[in-house]
Amino acid sequence: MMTGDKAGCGGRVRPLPPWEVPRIAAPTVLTASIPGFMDWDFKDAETIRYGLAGISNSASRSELLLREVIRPGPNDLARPPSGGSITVKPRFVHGVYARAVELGLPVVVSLHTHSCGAFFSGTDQTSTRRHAAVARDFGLHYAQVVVAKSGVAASFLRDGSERPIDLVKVIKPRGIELLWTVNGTCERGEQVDRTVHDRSLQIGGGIEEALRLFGTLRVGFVGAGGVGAAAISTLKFLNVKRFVIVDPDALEVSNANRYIGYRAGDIGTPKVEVQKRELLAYDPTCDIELVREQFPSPASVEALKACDVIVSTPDNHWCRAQVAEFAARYLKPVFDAGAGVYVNEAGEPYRISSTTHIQLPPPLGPCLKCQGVRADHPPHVEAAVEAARKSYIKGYRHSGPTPASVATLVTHAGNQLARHMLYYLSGVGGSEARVPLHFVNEEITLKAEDLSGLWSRQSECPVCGEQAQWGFGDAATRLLESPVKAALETETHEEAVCTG
Amino acid sequence: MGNLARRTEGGTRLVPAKNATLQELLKEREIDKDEVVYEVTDTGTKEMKLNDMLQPGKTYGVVPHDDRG
Repeated sequence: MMTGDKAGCGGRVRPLPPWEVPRIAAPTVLTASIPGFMDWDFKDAETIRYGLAGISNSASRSELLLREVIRPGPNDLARPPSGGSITVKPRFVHGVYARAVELGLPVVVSLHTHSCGAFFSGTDQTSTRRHAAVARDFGLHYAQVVVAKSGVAASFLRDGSERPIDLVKVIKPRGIELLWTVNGTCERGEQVDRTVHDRSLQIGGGIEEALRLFGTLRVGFVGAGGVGAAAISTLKFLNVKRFVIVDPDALEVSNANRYIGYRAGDIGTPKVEVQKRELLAYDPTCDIELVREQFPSPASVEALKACDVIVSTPDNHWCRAQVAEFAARYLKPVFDAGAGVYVNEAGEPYRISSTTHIQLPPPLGPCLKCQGVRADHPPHVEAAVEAARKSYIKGYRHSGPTPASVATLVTHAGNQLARHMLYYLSGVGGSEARVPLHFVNEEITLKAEDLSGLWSRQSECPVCGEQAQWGFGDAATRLLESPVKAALETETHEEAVCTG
Repeated sequence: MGNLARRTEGGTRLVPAKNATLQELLKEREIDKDEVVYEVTDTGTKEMKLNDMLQPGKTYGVVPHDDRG
C-alpha cells in the first residue's frame, strides 16, 4: 500500500514508492459509468462521497462496478470541512451501509479528495480499519479511493486483506478514461507503435489516445460470423491486441462469399479458430482467448467478464438481448452490428441493410432493447428468414437475385462498427458530440440513416431501467437469460433480420 | 467511563459489562451522541434505539465518525 509523508493532510504516514511493489498480472479495477463520478473540485477543503458497487470476478480480473453514488450534505458533516480534514457523521455512514444491504450490492466505496497528493494518510488508514469492521458486520466489502490533482490512490479490502485497486475506469458519454492508480501493481496500457501507425497518427485529433486505448482494452466478440470477422479484421488495424472471441459455429461453403479470413480447405473449421489464425498471422503477440460456445454459456460469460468492451455480432436477436443484459450488469459498452435481409409476410425481401447499435452502460444511454432490438420472431417471419437465408446461399452459388452484394454488406457492417467504436473512444467531435447509437445503411439505395434520436432509456426496462440489476455484476440475483427472454417474448415484432 | 462497556477494534465494537440501555451508555459517555450502535445477529444488523437494552455476551457494533484527511 502506498503511503507518503505529506504535511497538512493529517496523521503520520510511511513512504513506500510503488516501484518497490511486485507487479501482478491480474488487475483490480473500479469501473464507473455514473456521470460526474470523477469530477472533483479541488479547493482547499476536502470533499467526500460514497459509492455502492457490485463485483465481477473472473480468472484474470476483479472488478468493482459502481452502481450508485451518495453525497453527504452539509448537515451530514460533523463540522465544516477544513483544509486538511473532513468528518462525516455516523448516521450518514450507517445509512450508506444500510442502503447497500437494501439494494443487495456487496461493496461500499469511500472516495475523498486530498489537496496535497494521492496517498493514504494515517487518518485514512484508521478510517479504513473502522470501515473494515463495520463492513464485516454488514456482510459487505469496503474500498477506498483518494483523489488528488496529481493522481488517484485506491485499495480494496476483501476477506480481511487489503489489495490495491490498479485502475479506475471511467466510462463517459464520449470515451473511456483510464486512471492508473499510484499504488497499482499491474502492467499499464499499451503504447502506440508510431511507425506502424504513422498514417493514422497524421490524422491527429484524438487518434493517438484512441489507439492507445484500443491497445489497452480487452475486447470481447460475441459472434465471429461475416460481420464479426470484418470487425475483427478492422479492429486489429486499430491496435486492438487483446481478444476474447465467442462463437459456436464452423465455416460452411456458403460463408466463402463474405468471410474475411476464409481460405480454401477451411470448411468445417471453427470460426473462432480461423480468426485466431488470422490474428496471429498479423501479430503473433496478440492475446487471444476462444470460446466455441453459444453466448451466454457459462464459459463465454466467464471469459467476457474480463473484457472492457463487447463487440456484438451474433446471428440472432435473442443472443443480442442476452448481450444487452450481460453488458449492463457488468458495465460494458456494447458495439453491435448486424447485416441482413428484411422480408415481408410473403417471404419477399424488401430491404437489404446493415445496422449498428451502441449500448453505453446505464445510466449513460438506452440499452439495445430500449433501442428496439427485440428477440421474438413470429413463426411466419422465422419461416421467411429461413427462406431468405437459402437465397442468401443461392446468391453465392449462382450469382442469383438476392442479395448480390453480401460481401459489401457484411464487411461494411463490420467496418461501420469499428468506425463508430473509434468515434466513441477517440472523442473526435468533442465530448458533447452525439454518439451514433443506431445507424442504418441501406445496401441497395446506399442510403444512410442515423436513427439515434428515436430512442431513450425506459425507466421500466428490465435491462437498463431503474429497478434493473445493471452494475450488480456477480451480485445480480436473476438468471441471465430468463427474465429478458420473458420480457421480450411478450412483445410483437413485425420484422426480422438475418445477420451475416 | 468503561464501567458499563468497553470499546474494541478501533472503537467499532461495544462490549457491555452489564445490562444497560443505550440511553445509559450515552449518559455515561460510553458512546458519542452521533454514533450509531447496532446488534450483530446471525441474520444481519439491528439498529439499537435509546431504550433498547444492551446485554453482556452479545456483540454490538458502532459506526463511528468517518474522519478523513
